[in-house]
Amino acid sequence: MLRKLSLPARIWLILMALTGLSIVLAEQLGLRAVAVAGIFLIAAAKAELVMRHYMELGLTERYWLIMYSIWLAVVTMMLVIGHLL
Amino acid sequence: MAENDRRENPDGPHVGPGTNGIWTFVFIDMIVFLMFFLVYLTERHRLHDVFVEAQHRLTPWVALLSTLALLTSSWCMAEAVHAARRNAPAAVRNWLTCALLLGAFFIANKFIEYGGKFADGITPATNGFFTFYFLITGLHFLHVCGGMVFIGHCRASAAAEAGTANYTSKIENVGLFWHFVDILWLFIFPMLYLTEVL
Repeated sequence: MLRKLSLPARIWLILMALTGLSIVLAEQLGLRAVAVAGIFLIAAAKAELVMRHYMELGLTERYWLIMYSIWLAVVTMMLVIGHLL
Repeated sequence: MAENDRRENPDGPHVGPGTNGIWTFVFIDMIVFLMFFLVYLTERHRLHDVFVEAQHRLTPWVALLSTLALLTSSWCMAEAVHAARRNAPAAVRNWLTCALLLGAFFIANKFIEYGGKFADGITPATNGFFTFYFLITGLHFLHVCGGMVFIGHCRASAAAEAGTANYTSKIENVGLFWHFVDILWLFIFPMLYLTEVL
């Protein structure tokens, strides 16, 4: 059944599932450091999916792929470290 | 390169999504928001107790609805771009209508959220956290409004222009901007609303 769905639809399902996971992580996990890191890593994974499959970053010039990937890594690390300090 | 290919041969095969101009614009905007996040984190470190107390006054489920609406709207936008590439104007209009409705839901949700804050006497001047809360979500809100205007324009011109290289390029550019707005929210949501649910 999933194979009949378009690629954007399948990506949307994954994004919904990851959003649900981040809520569960925010409400239930006891270890604060793990939960904070997990929440922002899930956000990064969702952003990566949007960039790669919706923005089609892989199909454009390579330097955009590099620069956007660096932005994603920097913002994720910054948010994780900033909340754990 | 991709942009040049299209300029030289506008009816030729499609090469890469969007123009270099939109990729540059979006990247600069991303850097601006990264700076806002950095200053927010610095202030959060300095005024930790104020920020934590203030974050407990937010309503994460309202923001969750906004997240679901924007993610779904992004999917609709991606489908609209695919439909435009296969020259299906009716499908383009339908997907863009869905994207617009979900964008409108986000805006309505944001009005309800802001209205609740103002009713509780919370303004940007309340404390440091709420200054950033209104600044970051407000700027993002303006991006959503701008994106909806562009999507509305693409929807209005779909019947007449769909199938042309110019229209494909236009809807790809609007799509890239809309996905960027979505990506920003993917980080704003946990940063402002989720970290103190823990």
